[in-house]
Amino acid sequence: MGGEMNGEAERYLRRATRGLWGRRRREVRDELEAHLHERVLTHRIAGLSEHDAVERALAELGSPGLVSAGMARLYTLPTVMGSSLAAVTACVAVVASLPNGLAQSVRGTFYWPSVACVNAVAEGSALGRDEACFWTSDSFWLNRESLRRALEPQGVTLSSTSVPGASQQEDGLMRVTLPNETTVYTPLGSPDDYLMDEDGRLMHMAEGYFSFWDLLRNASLHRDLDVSVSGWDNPRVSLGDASFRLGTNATPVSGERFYSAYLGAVLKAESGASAFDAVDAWGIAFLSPDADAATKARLARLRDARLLSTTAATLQGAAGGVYGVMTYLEPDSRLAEALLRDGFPRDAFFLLQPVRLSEGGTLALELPGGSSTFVERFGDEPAPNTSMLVRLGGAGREGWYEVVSPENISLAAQN
Amino acid sequence: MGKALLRDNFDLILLAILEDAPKYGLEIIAEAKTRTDGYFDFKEGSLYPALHRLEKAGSVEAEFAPSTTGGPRRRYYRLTDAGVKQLAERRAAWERFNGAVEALWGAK
Repeated sequence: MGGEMNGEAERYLRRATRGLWGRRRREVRDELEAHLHERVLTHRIAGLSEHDAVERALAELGSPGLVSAGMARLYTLPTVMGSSLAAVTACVAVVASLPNGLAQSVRGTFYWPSVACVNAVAEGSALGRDEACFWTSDSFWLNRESLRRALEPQGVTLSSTSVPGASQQEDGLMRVTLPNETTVYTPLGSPDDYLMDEDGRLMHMAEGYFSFWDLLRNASLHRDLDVSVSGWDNPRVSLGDASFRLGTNATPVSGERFYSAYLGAVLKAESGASAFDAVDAWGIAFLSPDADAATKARLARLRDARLLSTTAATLQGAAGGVYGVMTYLEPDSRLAEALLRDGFPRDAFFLLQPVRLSEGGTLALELPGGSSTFVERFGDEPAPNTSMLVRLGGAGREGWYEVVSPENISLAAQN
Repeated sequence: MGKALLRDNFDLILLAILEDAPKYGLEIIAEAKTRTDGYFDFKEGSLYPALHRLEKAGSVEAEFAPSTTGGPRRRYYRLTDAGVKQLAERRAAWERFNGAVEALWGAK
C-alpha cells in the first residue's frame, strides 16, 4: 500500500476499532484491512489512481463509527438494545450504626448504563433539553457548552485546541483553565463517533461533547488540584474551587446509574494495558431496575435461591463515602447462567455495585455468588468470586478512586 | 419496529448467502447486492458488526485464511448447525407470512 493509502486507511482502521482491545481489536482490524486492500485493488484495476481508489473504498465502507458502535455493543459492555434485562437486586446491605445503636439498611442495585440527558449546570441555572448528553456503554458524555456556562462565571475558561502536531482531522481537545492557572485537557468526541440511544437509534455525536471520565481522570492527575465528586443523585463535581452539578431538575442524574458507570470506568482503568486479552473474556453487567414483570419474576427466583447472600464483609467506613464493589463472578455460577440466557454471551461477568454510606460506621456487604476474597488488583487472570472494594469520588488528593486494602475488610461466613 | 424488521431480514439474507459455502466479507457483500437486485443497499462497514453479531449468537462461525491476492488474511464465515436450523425456521416463518398475506390479497 502506498503512503497515501496508509494515512487515510490508518485513520479509518483506528477509528473503526475504537473501543476494542487486544486480540479482538487486532482481528477486527485485520478483517477490515483485508476488505480495504481488496477494494482498493479492484478500483485500481478499474483505472483509478491510488488516492481515488482509497477514497472510493472508504466512502463505500461508510463512517468508521458504523463499525465501532456496532462492535462496541457486542464486545464491550452490553447495552439495553434489544435484549431483555435481568434485574437483580444486589444484596448489598449497608448497615450504618448510628450513635444510639439503631441500624439502617439500604439496598443497592445494579444498573444498565443507558441514555440520560444531563447538563452540567451551575446550581440554580437551567438549560433546555436541546443540549443532551449521552451514555455509551462505558462512558458518560457531557455537553461542553453546558460545562462552559457552569464554569465561566467561576473564573474558569474553556477553549478548544488540538493535539500538537496533529492534522486538522484529528480529534480536538477541550482545555479547561482554572483560576489558579492549572490546565486540564480532555479529548473531545469526534464527528465519527456514533452513540446509541435508548431507542436503539444511532445518534451522530456532535463534536462538542466529552467523556466525563476523561475529565475526571485527567483532572486527578494534577497533584496540586483538589478533585472530588460528592453526593448521590445529581452529584457535585469540584475542580479546586470551581464546581458544578451533574443533572438538572428536569433531567436528573440517578446516583445509582452514575456510580455504576463510575465503577465501570474504574474497572476499565484497573484492567490496564497489561490485561489486554483478559479484558476480552470479561463481561461487565449493569442491570436495570426498570425490568418487566418476567424479569422481576426471575429476580424473585434468584433471590429465593439465595445466590446473592453467601458472604458478608464489613469495613469501617468514613462518613459520606460512596463505595463500589466489583466482583468477578464464576462463569458457571447460576447467576452468570441467568445473565447468559439474557443474551450476554460472555465467558465471565463482573458485577458492579455502588453503595453509599450515609453515616459513618460499619459498612456491611452481602456479596453475590459466594464471593469470599477481596483483592487489591484483579491482575491478568481474575479469579472467580474475587471482589475489589473501591472508594469513589476522590477527596483531596486521592485521585478519582481509591482501592480499599483487603486488610481493612473483615469477612464473615454466612449461610 | 421498522429497524428490527430490517435487521431481522438482514440476518436472513446473510444466513442464506452462507448456506452453500463459507465466504468472507467482500464475497458476502457482492452476493447480497446481486441476489437482492440492489434492494438491500447498505454501507459496507455495517456488514461486519452484523456478521460478528451472528457469530456471537452462534449462528455462524469464522476463521482466518490467507488472502489469494497477497493482502492481509481474510475472515471466512460459515453456518453452524444452529445457523442451518435458524435459516430453515426463518424461511418457514417467512413463507407462512407470505402465504397469509397472499391469501388476504387473493380474498375477494
